[in-house]
Amino acid sequence: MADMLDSATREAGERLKTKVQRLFGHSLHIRHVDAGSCNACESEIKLLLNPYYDIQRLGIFFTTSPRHADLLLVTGPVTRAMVDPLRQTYEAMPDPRLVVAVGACACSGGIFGPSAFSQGGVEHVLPVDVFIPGCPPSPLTLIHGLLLALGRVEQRMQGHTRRIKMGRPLSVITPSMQEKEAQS
Amino acid sequence: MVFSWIRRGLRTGVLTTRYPAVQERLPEAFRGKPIMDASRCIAEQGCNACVQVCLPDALSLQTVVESAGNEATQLVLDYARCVACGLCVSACPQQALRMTNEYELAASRREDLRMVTLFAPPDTSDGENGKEENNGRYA
Repeated sequence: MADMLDSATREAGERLKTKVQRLFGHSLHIRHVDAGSCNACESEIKLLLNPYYDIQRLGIFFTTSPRHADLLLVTGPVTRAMVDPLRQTYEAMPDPRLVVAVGACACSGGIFGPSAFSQGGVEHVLPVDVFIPGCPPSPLTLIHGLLLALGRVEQRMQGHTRRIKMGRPLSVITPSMQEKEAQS
Repeated sequence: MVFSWIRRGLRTGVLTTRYPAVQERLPEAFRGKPIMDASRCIAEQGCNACVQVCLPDALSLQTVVESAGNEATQLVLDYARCVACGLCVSACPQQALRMTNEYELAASRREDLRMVTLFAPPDTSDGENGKEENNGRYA
């Protein structure tokens, strides 16, 4: 498609893209799924919404429906009972969608490991874009991971939380996403 | 009552962290990412004190076969498994392992969460000190 356009149209498209990204600033809606977690990760995720960490100042919100979500936050080593609900949640999300594994269990199986009742990590069920290790990860680690998923880590260099030129568009941040989806 | 709330709020000021814009300093005792000083480690002499004590198998000693039966030992620290309990730090006889208060641990690839320290085999000592390391960085 891009080859068919002439250079002027392509340039205008790029300009529009950067303007849209600057205006909307990569806001994000998160759907959180507990796939057999011990609730330590949940207690840290809940801390993101308190006045100290206040993740909504970064334009990141939690939503209750996967149909409104851009990012699936998974905690726990996916238990056998949660494999299908997790897949259904992922399939209910609109494209483009990101998957973030939170905690040692979701990253690698943790102390549960792969067994008859545990899948041993989210990556065995869904294509994972960002791993946030820790048992549980601190809220600052969670913010770092979410900004990494959005390609907004370089925001730190600027010293402003708003009014920042975005470095990379969302499609370039997770080049592995299409590959992973092609494999599964 | 409402006025007392407003007065209290004004007196308290802004508490919110400025984290992504400004790096937050955590207390020294915060157990974040464990790092390893490979020059102190004596794993090639048969020490596996940290591997023995690691509960979630985050630390492991592996034998990699290089060229022509040349076997080398590597110590793998998997941050995706680590629960930052600090048992390996107290178990290490050489104080090679250390907990840091670093908290920016997220990675977009699973391989980025593995820190590998490769120890060359002891019998091929031809002048070099025989250690390849990536000191404290991700492999």
